[in-house]
Amino acid sequence: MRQRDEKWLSSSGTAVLGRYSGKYVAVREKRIVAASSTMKGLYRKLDELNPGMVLITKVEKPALLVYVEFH
Amino acid sequence: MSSFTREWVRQRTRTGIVYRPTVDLLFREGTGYNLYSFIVDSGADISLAPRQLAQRLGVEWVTGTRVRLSGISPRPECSVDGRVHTVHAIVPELAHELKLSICFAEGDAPYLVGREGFFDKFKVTLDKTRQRTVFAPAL
Repeated sequence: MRQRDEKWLSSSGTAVLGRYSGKYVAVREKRIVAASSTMKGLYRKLDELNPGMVLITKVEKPALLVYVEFH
Repeated sequence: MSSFTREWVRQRTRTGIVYRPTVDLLFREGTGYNLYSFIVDSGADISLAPRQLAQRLGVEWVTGTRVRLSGISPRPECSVDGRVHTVHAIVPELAHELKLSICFAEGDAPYLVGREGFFDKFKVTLDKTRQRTVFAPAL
């Protein structure tokens, strides 16, 4: 289920990826069941919907990723 | 413990499409389990996740080791607060439980899996030519 969902998200068109750009999303059975710009918001929606086990990921903004440094 | 392979995930950037190595990790939360897709970051000393995941796992965020996370800008207002905790995660392909050091950060943090606790357990081969990652048990 989860590999199908991840593959589906990865192969989604730029319209889908653009719509959720920078957001945290929850995917289940090839469908985005909840999305939010914050994890707090995503958890709130998931708690309301209670969809069962989901795949949670962040659709990164259209930028290249670099590392951060800890102090 | 056997090995497994994951295809890289496609992501759009302003410079075109990039493919990123990811791995799914399963976490036990208060009311059940959820899967999280982490980017495999061999350059990261430890893993990174948003603060809210710590709360979801029942971890008291403030009790962790305090760190500041900064990027390229040295300005203090450009850094964010984080706490490092060791938590349990499951690699679902192998039903294998790991102890991972994760920095749970304030703000808009990505999900990154770094070396500590993960690369000790797996020999990770990032195969860019085939856009896939092979995870083999470390000897």
